[in-house]
Amino acid sequence: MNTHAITVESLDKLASDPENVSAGSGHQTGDKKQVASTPSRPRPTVNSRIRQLRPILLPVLFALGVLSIWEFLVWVTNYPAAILPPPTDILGALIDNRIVLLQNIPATAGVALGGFAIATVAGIAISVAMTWSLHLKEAFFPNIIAFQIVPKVAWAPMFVLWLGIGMESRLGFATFISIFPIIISMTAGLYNTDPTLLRLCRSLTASKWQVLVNVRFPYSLPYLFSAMKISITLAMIGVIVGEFITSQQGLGYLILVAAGRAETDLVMATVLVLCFVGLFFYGLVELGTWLVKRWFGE
Amino acid sequence: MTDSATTISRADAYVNVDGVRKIYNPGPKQVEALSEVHCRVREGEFVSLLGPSGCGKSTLLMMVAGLESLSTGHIDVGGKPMEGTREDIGLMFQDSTLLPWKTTLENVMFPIKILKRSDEEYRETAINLLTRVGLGDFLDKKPSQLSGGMRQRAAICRALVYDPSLLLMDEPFSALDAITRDEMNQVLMGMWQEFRKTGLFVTHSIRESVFLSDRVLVMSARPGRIVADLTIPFPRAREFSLVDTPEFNEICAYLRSKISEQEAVGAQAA
Repeated sequence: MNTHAITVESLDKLASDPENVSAGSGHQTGDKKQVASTPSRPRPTVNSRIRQLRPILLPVLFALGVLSIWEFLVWVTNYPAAILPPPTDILGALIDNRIVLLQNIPATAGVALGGFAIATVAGIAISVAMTWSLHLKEAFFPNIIAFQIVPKVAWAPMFVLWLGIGMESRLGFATFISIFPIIISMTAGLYNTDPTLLRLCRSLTASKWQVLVNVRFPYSLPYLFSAMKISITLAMIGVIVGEFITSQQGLGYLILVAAGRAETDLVMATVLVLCFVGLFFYGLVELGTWLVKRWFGE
Repeated sequence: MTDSATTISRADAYVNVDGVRKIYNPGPKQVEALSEVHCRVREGEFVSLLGPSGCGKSTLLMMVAGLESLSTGHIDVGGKPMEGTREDIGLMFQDSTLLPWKTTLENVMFPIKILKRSDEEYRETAINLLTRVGLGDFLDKKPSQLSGGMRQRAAICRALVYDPSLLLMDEPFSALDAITRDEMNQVLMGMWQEFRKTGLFVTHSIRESVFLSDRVLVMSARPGRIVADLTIPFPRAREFSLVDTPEFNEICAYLRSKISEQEAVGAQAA
């Protein structure tokens, strides 16, 4: 019987030399895996450069392709420029009218940014209040959701009636239209904090305020920033709609005037400027998102 | 290795759980999660609650923490009845629950901030604790840069930094891989030797409970009751090689038989 006894020596013989099995790939212990130093990167080749630039290159090439086809079709068919101007005409209108376009940016961008800022601050305050009191949330939140479904643009004339034909009505409407995503997302973020972490806070006898400031609020920041991306776009829409109804300045006003004179190339140039302003704001929020993510250590 | 139930006098008990029941949805459709639990833990003793999933061992632990209400019975900790949460109790969960945006050191200092104690005074304690568990070089790292085992090491430090007298642990290592889990058992053993708290440890690992504990309480499946109370005879500090000895495995086998006895009873009742 003792020929089959398992001893440390016999097991040592059974265990093969790891160096020979896995050719040199060093095993690491569980604890050090994630913090191991990054391996030295191989040098970038031309191919890998192209692969890196592809996410930028492809959409740009696609847009250029569409614009070229557009230009070509308008030129071939001799289509009336008052209905569909070719891209080169739009570019020309952009350059010719650069002064008037630039002059009208601040009115639109300022009100949009103002409405967005008020919506963000007020939205956060309303969400915090709903986190503070469950009764308030139960009373208020379903109504917010229901109201969210209403096409809010329909309310725009009311803001003119309430706040007059000045800047206030456009600011009010931009705030109104852009506050909903903030409230909905922020409330979700404040309520979705890890319940175990909330237990930990309770076990440490933390006050409601301490939990809000130290845990709930930071936890909801990613929710807030994804809502802000939608919100800034909506604020822009709000201001343009407001300018369509009543305004003596701004890019929306410019679109109306140019459309009235059948200056289609100027209408489209203005839309292009709006696009850049919107992209710039979106970029700012995106930058904020990136900073928050970095703060979260992602 | 004999059952030593209720040999601790009430005066000797640091944690005293007396006739505790937990009933969800009282009424005709009520669910009894815990039925008449009695147990006592001496000061400085490390006791494990061992049982199958859903036996109510975590519920019992949360009741001791003051985070869960009792349907009947009462619980004293340190001679004072539990009425809500208290700052002389430390808590560890299955998840490390570190704040992702804070560094390791800031996370360990989190209780100090909440309890409004002096940051300066406890900073050194926190750094010493982290160094003690091998995280001295990771003070400024964020949780996402740490492995699961390292995060739980930080969580141990966070539970100890404000010097609670009772430490409650709810399956703190069950989400870790087996090798890291063994490592963590040794880390906890070492910390225990040094800081000597009273400990209540919930686990479903027989081996872990025997290695770490002075006593193991076996709980039955729902409704949870304590069906065995076993004193573990090995002196401290224990080396991890202990788990390979025949005596150790004999105790594990005994506990395993106690648990399967309960399962058989449960199956008959069902």
